[in-house]
Amino acid sequence: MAAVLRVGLYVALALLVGAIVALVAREPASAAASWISSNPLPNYLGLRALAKGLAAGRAEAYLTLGVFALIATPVVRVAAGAITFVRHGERRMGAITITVLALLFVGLLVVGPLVR
Amino acid sequence: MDLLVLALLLGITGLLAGFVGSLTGLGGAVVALPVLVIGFGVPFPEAAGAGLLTILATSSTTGAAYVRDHLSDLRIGMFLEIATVPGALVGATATVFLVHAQLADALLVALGIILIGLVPGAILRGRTPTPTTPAAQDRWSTELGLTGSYYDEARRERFHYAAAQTRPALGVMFCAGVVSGMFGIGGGVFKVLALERFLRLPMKIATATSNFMIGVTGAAGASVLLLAGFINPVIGAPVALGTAVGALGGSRLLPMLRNRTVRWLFVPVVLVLGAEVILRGLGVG
Repeated sequence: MAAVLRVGLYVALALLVGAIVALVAREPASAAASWISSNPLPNYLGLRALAKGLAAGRAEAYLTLGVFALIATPVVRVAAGAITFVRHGERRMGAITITVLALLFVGLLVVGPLVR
Repeated sequence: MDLLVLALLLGITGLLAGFVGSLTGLGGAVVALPVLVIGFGVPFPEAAGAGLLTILATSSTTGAAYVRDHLSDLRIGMFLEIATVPGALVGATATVFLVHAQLADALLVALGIILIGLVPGAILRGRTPTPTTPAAQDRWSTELGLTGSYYDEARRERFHYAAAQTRPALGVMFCAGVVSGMFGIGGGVFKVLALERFLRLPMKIATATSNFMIGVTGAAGASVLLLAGFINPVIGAPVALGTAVGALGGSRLLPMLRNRTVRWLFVPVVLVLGAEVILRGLGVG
């Protein structure tokens, strides 16, 4: 379980650090105010747009992937917990954990797209 | 200011915020958020988004050690997530609607009030005596087996604990989820309070379990704010990375502090930041 956390965290941190460094290296002198007022992330929220950006080596796409990894880490941990409980025959705790997992997906797949 | 300076300043802000946040028990986002709003002119939605990224990074960074030491109680944490995750979804959705209704300034005022309100919460928790015998379990706690034990290094003794009053705790946890989803801060303070006061868990277990929980709650809030376009990683990532490092530093230093009252040196800082955020929201700051 600790391994899930650590791997997810390292992947997320590596992506975020790498992408920020790449972004700064690409446009070190660009105005800070424009980065605060305009958010590049919404351009990469679709799977196809994200894949295209990643293939093109856009720092913003890798930044978006890093944010996804950061959000996914606890979700994977809950999923790992559900598997552990079910495997040990703990039906009630398993049901609770699967409910939590389902609620997380409701946020990502139902509530999120609705407010978009 | 150019992008290089911005990234460095945001990283340093996170570092200091993580440090102060872990020493006071308020959490890094509590210090980072007002600085983003006041110091960098970050709009409320992106500040809340950065707060959630900060929580996710801190929870995972400091959480790995807790899980390894078996201090984080997964059963109790998972049981309470039934309440915090819906809370976070409701809170984050409310933020999206309020921002779209041009009420971001009202959210700033509320953020300032919460910042100030968290201080007595953090002070209160130090006053709860650590139970030495397991608390009386209620029905849900018994049926789900919400008990455990841990080895206290300082007292060289194994302590057993059990969760009490699970129903009121679920209510507090829902509210903690709403606050964390709405503002990207504070979920940890409310969670620790509920774990100690209602469930009657020992401080170490409460801290570690809350640390696990804020990550899951944060993921729920962040996924909504992410798709609403409120998470700007150019701002959020440097702050989150800095905070995670600062929080690790603070958590290493904390056990070595002889005089814990040192922590309260930072309380005025949080109060002033909270007041500044309220003024900003009212349009006078």
